[in-house]
Amino acid sequence: MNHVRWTFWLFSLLGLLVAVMMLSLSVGAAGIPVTKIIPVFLEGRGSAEYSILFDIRLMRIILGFAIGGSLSLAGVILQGLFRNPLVEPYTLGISGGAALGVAINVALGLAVSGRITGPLAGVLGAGLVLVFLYFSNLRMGVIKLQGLLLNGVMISFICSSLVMLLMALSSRESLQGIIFWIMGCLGESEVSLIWSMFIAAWVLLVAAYFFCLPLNALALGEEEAQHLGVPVECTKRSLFFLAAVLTGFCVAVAGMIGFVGLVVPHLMRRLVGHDHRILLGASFLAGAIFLIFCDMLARTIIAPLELPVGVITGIVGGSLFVYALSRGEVDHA
Amino acid sequence: MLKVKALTCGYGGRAVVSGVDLDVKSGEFFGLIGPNGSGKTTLLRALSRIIKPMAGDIALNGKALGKMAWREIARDVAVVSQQVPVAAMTVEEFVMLGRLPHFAQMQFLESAHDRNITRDCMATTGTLCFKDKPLQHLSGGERQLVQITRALVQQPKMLLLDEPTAHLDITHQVAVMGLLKRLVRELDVTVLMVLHDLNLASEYCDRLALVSEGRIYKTGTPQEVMERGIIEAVYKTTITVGKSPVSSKPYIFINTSKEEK
Repeated sequence: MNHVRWTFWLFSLLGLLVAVMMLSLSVGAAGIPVTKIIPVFLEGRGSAEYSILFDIRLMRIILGFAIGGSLSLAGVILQGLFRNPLVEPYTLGISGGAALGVAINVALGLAVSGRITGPLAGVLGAGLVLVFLYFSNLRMGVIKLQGLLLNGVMISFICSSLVMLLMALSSRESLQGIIFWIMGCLGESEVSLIWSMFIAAWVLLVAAYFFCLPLNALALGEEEAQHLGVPVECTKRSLFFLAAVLTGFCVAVAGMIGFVGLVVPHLMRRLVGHDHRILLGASFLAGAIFLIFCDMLARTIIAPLELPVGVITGIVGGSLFVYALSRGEVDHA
Repeated sequence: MLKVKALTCGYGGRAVVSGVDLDVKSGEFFGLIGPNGSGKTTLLRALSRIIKPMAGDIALNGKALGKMAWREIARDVAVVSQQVPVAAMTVEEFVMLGRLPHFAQMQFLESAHDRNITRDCMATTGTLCFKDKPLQHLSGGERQLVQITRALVQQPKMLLLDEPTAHLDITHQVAVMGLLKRLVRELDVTVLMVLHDLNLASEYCDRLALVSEGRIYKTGTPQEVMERGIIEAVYKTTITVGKSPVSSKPYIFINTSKEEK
């Protein structure tokens, strides 16, 4: 039975998530054994260990959870919407817009005046691209998906070229800022930002679930979905906005963390099947697990220095993908 | 059931079908015939609201089609289109999607009722035996049957079919047409289908509409439509009309001249 299988997968993923979170809590410059986590928590605030565990590492894990889950969710939504397994959140150019926004912000020297300007510039850049994409592909009330995809890829290129232009023109310090941000990092320390990202991820996951059945129908094509009573135009629009907002938030907060949105949905499709009722949730959880794990690697491999997590997701994700492909486990459909 | 008045529709501002009137009655087995490119499929697409009419009205049970919600239409009308969608799912999952229009507002999983209907319909069409096969691995005949099964699961009052017998051998042709005929008789479903095979149309349909160059050339019973003058004028081919020795329905024979043999 489907439902039994789905419950099994959900609980397995939840279990894995808890395990990775515990591991990630205990590993770091100051190693704290897993068994000590609960005693430290019970002792309460005050000890140095408490603040390392719950003020620093846990916040980072929460951010990793939110970003990983959101990126992966955006990937599933977009792959389902475009019926193309190679689309990922960064294909649409929305992340490019966010990157450009942040780069301009850094280059203009606004980044120092307050932490919040970075994410704000990112959201603004993503929003501008989103609005442009939306209106340039609207023909008589119908969204042309293929045009949207092509435009998105082009905007991606334009934005990354502009970012490079800015990098060529900017001073050494801002150059470093831009580069580090582009490679992606979960080192955000503004607590309110982390919590808003966390809440946004959950809200958008719930919103996505309203579209799981239409997404299943859309797998047959737009006309077939219409025959099944799905209001296709409204669904396409909502899903596009959902994915774009998810991506925009993620890029604005954590920079460009690639591959999560491409690889995780693929692997999940192999594991739990193509039904979006389970696929959305499973991808969300698996994306969170994947990013928390990669961030743990990024923190520890050359400790006390830190690697950009985007580098790790690329290497780990890419290897996983090639491995799955060589085993013939990736759908070519 | 379905009333069409002065319908004009097409693609990109160019009319493919113009000034069509149709009146399909409840419980009727209605066939649309006509040469390639005459606008049969376009007409069907307008009737299933995939393309918007440029002029004219379509009414389903007295309600204007353009004003109905997609879900509302899908509960009454099921469509079997020409190309079978290719998606990574099993036959059962595909057929089960037909229950979507009947899901309650916040319903998320199929109910036992939905599963029973799916099972019954699959048993009716004989698709139960390959319910776990992936959609891509089906033969042409199986795909056609699977699509019709999904349409049945929708429990529609009306079925719109676009050449359900294309690419099928006579065994499957008869199976599909027989099944549809039975649905009309037993469940009082109305069937409107596009057909290429004139003899098949004549054998099974209660009424036919002959489409030519985007207009209805003639509507009537097979006896009224399958006349030599009419068919020759529309298809520009010389034919002879005979009679089926069993059902005494009109039967079209193609005349070939000696040199062509």
